[in-house]
Amino acid sequence: MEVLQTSHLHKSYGKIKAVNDLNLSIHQGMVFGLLGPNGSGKTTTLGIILGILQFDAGNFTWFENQYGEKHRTRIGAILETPNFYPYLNAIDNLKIVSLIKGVEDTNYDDLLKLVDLHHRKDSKFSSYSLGMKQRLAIAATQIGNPDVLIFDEPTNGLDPQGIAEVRQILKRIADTGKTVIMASHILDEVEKICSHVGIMKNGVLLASGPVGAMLNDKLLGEIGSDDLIALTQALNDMEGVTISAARPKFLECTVDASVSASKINRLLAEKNIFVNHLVLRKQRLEEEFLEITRKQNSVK
Amino acid sequence: MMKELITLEWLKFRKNSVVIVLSALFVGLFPFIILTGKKVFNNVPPPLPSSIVFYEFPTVWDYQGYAGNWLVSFCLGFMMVYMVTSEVSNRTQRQAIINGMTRKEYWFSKLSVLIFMALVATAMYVVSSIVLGVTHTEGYDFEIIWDNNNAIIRFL
Repeated sequence: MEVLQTSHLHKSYGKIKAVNDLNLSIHQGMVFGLLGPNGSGKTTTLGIILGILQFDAGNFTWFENQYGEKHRTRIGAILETPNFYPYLNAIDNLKIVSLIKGVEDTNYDDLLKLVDLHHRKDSKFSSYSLGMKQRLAIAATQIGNPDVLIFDEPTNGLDPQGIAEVRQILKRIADTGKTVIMASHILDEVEKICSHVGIMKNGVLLASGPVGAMLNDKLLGEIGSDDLIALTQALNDMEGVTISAARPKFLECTVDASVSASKINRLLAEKNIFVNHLVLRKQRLEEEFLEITRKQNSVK
Repeated sequence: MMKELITLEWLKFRKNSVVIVLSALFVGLFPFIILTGKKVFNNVPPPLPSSIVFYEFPTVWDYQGYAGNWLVSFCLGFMMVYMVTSEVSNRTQRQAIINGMTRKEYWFSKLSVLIFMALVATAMYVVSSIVLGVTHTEGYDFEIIWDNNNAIIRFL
């Protein structure tokens, strides 16, 4: 089933186009990561599909319109910051959410145990640390066992331990087979959790597809030698290897999948160049991301 | 539907100190604030015979209504404004919509509270006016009590 479908969404703030002709299609079971630098329109997009921002043109449909106006009760979402009543404790805040969602038999203790907040269930929300607030927000999204979860930069502003905790919780949720839509500018996060990604910049969706397909076959190589000048020459002559950047102690290059490390080593040794550093690895999402966003810059 | 929305607002604000203080002030002062007139207005100016008209049937309806109205706007009016604006500043209004309320439902829940508070205040007005009237009028009967009953509607 198609969970979310947007077609030609437009939204601008004055002259700035925050979302420009956005077409997204998210199917059941996808863990979709919406990637993009700060200010690329991720939060605006989520705001529009959650009904709290007005949009200028286009349209979107949730759940193929099965639930009509009340579709948001089938979605658990946090947008930007965790929003709760500061003078109420965790349980009271969750009670309000379940009343809004029309859920009657919520097990608050289990929910709070899931996010490791049970020991603070009677403290006021205002006394929580940012990480605890974020975790309470994640607990709130689980109320009523929704079909779709939306997280907007869930690890923003947390300390390393908090990031690790939140990530673990997210991974656990993603593994249950629910549809998750997650916006983030931290690629590592998306790479670890998501099955599909969409890359946004300046309100335009540049690319989207499964994480595996986004990464091309080319390998990324780091080759170092005592004589870098000779190495540069030798690599320039070598087939299937292109130097992309020079570092103080090694050269960075993209390598075709057909070229193996031992082949590079042998060819260089034949030219009397001996490597002291040789790494070939699969390109990571981060590099792909930078490449895609760079391409767009150069087009402009 | 309306009951559910009022329960929701009750859950939200029952532990809020501003709301608690204002409702306590209102409930505590409303029935009796008019009695301060006894201390302040010992000699009322000519058109009124004496300050007893404040508390007597049928004019108690007018004076209790007038005095109570000030309290309503100070306590309940401010409370209502607070209940709307605090939700905006805590961003919980936004969250309520994200959680699945429609905008219409959200505003209807605030409206329900407003109507509910108006009904409670009116009930208090009726009871307190009757109590004041009964304790201050010599020789009253049912007719004289209800003589000014359109004041209830006016108060509401």
